[in-house]
Amino acid sequence: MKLFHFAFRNMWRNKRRSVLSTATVAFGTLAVLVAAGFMEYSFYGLQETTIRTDLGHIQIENPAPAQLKGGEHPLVHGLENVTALKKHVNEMASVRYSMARLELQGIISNGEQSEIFVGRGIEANKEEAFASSFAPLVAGRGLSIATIEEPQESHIVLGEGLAAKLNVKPGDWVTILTTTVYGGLNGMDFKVAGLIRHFIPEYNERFVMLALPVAQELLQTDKVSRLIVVLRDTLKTDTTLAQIRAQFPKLTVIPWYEKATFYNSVVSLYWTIFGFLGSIIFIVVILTSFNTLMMTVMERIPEVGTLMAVGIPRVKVMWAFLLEGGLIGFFGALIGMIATLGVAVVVNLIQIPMPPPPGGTFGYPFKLHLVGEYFIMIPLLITVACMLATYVPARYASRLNISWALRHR
Amino acid sequence: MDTLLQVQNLTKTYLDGVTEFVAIRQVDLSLQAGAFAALSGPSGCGKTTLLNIIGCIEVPDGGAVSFEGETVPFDKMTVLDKFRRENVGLVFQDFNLISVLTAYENVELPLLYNSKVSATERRRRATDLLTAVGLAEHIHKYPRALSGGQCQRVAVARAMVNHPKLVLADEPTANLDSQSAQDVMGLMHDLNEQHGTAFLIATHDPRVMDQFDHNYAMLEGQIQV
Repeated sequence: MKLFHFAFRNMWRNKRRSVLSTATVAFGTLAVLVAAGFMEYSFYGLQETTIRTDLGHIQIENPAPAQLKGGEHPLVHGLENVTALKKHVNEMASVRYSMARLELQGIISNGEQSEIFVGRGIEANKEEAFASSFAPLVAGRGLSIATIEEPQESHIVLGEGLAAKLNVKPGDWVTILTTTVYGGLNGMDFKVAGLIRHFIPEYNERFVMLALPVAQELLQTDKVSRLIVVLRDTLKTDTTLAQIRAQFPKLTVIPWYEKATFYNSVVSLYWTIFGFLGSIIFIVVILTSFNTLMMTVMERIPEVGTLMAVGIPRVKVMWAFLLEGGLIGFFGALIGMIATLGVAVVVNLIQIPMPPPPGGTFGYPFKLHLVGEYFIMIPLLITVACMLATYVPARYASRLNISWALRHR
Repeated sequence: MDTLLQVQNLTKTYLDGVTEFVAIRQVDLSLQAGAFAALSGPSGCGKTTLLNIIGCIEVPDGGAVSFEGETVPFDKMTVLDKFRRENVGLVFQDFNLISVLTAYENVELPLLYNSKVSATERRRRATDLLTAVGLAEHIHKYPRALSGGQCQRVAVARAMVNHPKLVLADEPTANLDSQSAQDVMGLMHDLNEQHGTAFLIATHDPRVMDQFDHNYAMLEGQIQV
């Protein structure tokens, strides 16, 4: 008969109370794990959306001066001979491929109405493969297909918000006006190939994409703004970053997370909310355990007196109660973990649709992304919290006057 | 015989609100090793207080207790706990068995934190004592499945398992029927004779008074000479 065994048997003396306490802990664990699972899923979704619609995993640029000289076009500092750079980068094991981008801004017009646009010259086949499910095509064709089907035309893809403003649809023609790297004005007519829905509404109302060679022709340059590196696994970002920085020390190499302002803000906000809710749940669990064990101690005062009278050291009496609290925490956390797995299976199968988050154009399904570390850390924390909650009653029991405890009824 | 226990000038006062209540006053008592003695007297005369002080579960206001010539250090809690664990066995009126433990586990309990006793020795002692008190067939039963007499016999076995030099029993027959009371007294007497363990038994039960070698009669907190 060891202390642990003793605590386990004591736990079931008042079954109803122990079951209620265990259920409270289980629900607490479930709530924290489900919240963490949803948060992780949201982070993962937002991370991949950010990477695939905008930043890529790693960006390689020429170092730009802190301030451009008056009238200087940013592309003056663009990357040259990008083919050789791509070849080196693509040879790295963790790199799936790399693609050049050229950033441009200007005015887009349907002949009657004009809007400011933010645009991107892209390697269409790679960009579309990379981002198709994160910036979905909602009408028409993608650039790559349009270029194959009608090679004689210059095509453009618009954000659906911009298309709505200009009142254009796939097959219509628009004119783009922008400044070349030399400062002159240049314009070209484009046939609208398709419309995409960008996750961020501001982009949706300004965004255009055109083939890289056409964009270079429009800006009268053979340079590109940056090289986007696409990895096989987002988790390899830091190791690949170090490799690229080591190989190309003169270039500026930036990981996605350093430019992901929106993502970082959301993560920070969610962690704050999660921390607040988690704290409340922990407090509820702690108070429940405290209450249960305090009642338990009060009921067993004569028994505590007997234990100490027959020679059980006071510290062992305290440990017996601490273990009892820990066991309630452990079993509650275990049940909570199993329940979370069940909830995750059901929720991930049903895929409950969620409304678009603030700053987003489309919603995503409510899914849980279960993280192994949380399944160890959170139940462990809850078990320890239950033990800590038991400390005060346990200490009280261990410091009782033995003769008073024996007389107590 | 050697003197096992020497109580000198022992005093204990309780405070009941603002009123002081003197439980025992200037008590002197001497107990020989292997004695089988009664501490008799009416309820409230101070028997339990005296036993509690001798058993080191209560601290006196004045006076001293010597055990085998050594003064008991009432000001040192951990030493007191160890002293009690190694030298004194306690039997209570209400048996005070732990309800979630079997008879065997209740008897084994005081040995769990006695580092001088191995697990094998622990098992042997607990089993032998339960056999000696006539409960060999009940060692795996929980207290709720035992009669009052059987529970008290388990409590006696528990008090003896540490091989104490002194067993203090506080009204051990008060909650028992006549037959069980006689059985329990007979059992304690047998253990006293077989093991040479001294017994000091507080009682005011006239059914058992004739079984003691010596009787310390108490009245109003004092031992009557």
